[in-house]
Amino acid sequence: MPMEKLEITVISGKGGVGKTTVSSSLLYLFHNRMKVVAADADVDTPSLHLILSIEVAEKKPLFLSSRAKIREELCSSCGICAEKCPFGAIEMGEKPMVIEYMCDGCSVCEKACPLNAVELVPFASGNLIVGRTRFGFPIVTAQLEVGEHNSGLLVNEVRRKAFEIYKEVGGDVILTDGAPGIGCPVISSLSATEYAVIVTEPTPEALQGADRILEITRHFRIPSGIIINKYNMSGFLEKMVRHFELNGSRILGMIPLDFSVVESISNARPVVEHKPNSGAAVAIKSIFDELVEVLDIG
Amino acid sequence: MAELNAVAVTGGKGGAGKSTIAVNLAALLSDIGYRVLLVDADVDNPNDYIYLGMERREAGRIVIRTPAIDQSLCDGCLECVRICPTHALLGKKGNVPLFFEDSCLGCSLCAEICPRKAIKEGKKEIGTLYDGESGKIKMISAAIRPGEARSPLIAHNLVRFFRQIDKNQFDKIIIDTCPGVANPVMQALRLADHALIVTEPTPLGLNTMKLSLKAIEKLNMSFDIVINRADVPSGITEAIEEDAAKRGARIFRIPYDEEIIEAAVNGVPVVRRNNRIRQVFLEILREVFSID
Repeated sequence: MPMEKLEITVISGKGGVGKTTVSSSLLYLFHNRMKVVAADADVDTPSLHLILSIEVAEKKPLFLSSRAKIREELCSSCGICAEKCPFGAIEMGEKPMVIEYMCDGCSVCEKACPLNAVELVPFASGNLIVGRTRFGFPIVTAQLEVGEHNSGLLVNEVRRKAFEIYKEVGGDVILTDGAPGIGCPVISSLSATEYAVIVTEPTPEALQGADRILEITRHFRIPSGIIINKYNMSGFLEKMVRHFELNGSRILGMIPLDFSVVESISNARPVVEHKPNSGAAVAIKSIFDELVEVLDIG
Repeated sequence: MAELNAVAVTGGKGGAGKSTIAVNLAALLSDIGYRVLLVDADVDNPNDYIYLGMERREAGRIVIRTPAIDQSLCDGCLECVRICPTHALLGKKGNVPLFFEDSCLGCSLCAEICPRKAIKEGKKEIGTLYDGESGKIKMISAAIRPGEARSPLIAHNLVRFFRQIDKNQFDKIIIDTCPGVANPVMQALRLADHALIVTEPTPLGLNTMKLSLKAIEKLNMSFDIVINRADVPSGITEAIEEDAAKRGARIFRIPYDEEIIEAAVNGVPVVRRNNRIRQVFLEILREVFSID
């Protein structure tokens, strides 16, 4: 049965476990089989474009945020704005001062000010970038301004644009590379996605991150599968596998620790392209087959 | 605060080694007799306590005040709907408004404006504060509740927790931040007077290091660079070093070592079991903290 959309979001909880390695390789493999659209939802520190390279077709600033500005001529320095600010972004000296990179633009201060001395000024919190990878498939990415944290909104914009292109080109799958952590941009990356690929590695720290992601995917009822990257890097693997089995989590596959991965990243190429016969590439190819089967899109 | 050396360990890229470095600096300082306050400000994934093999305790719940509307008092005037900054209250004139908890910032403006005093204080837990001790290290951290999107509020609560602590009990402060450059990172960086930017020798590491440098510039902080897994062949180490040298930053190189992973798995800081790595951390202490 045709679905309106098929989006796979690659996510990890803990950073640095191999999200982009997995995403870039899966994109390469999907591209060889079907029509794929790439979306980089790590809007804080996007990196997918570094591996896939991007020919930018469109770059536009997004006015998704606003910032508080205090009109000094109206301000009586009563301090209500500083006291009320949920983000600690207003410091009270002789006059209140907005710390720009901490302001969320939530407008609590504007609404709390008894003298209407606060106004909200819109500004570009990031850029939306649309282009084509050197393989020819479309990619949507973004770049958040430093210190901004409406990243959830920017993630939504990236995904909306990717979906638009997906419909335009009659795509088969959108693959979204998520952000590290479990906060706002991650929740925005996962909401209404069809499948979550959770990348982890055998350490207690990475397991905690994966577990926190699993809590979210269960909460939103998103089906998910786990990839254990660098599985032979430590003796923690057995414990980790048992933990996932007890939870009833599906393990899609495991990737060995393999310096071909570092070498491929340094050459800005997906490992399945750069070293197709390496242990890591072979493992990712078999994970891809498993994923295609799980999603029934062969 | 001036006498204290508060150093933030930060970096754009996830998994570059921020926690490993923060925890090992704290452990080494503690081992040579310094009293350390370790602030684990990675509010999405605070796991320094695991690296330290430390038992953490719950030190408080992070709760925001949410509106609880008394239906018998509400006349549907919609003053609360009008004032709510995030549209967490919605409704039709004459009806009791609907409340969407996920959008609420807990500002209480709705309760304050309600002419009929129909809005009582409800509570919503969005995270947890923790603390713990290990040797001469005291650790504090905050964790967001999975499914919650309000990381900046969690960071803000951790900053408040930090401010309540008597800093005279400590000789050094280490702050471990989230990856990236968003608001929770900036809140954590503001607690420090020097930053160590952790990166790795890959194009991704170089790219995200530049983003961290932009953030540091905004804060006008001094900084140094730590290249983790510096000896992994990649051809990028030189580019990072060149960039750092241009900005006058010192560079510290931590070699790749399987024992770092073993240490993370076993909850024992690697400086306590590997002399080669320990020497690099001693160098950082000498240069950054002026400790011999």
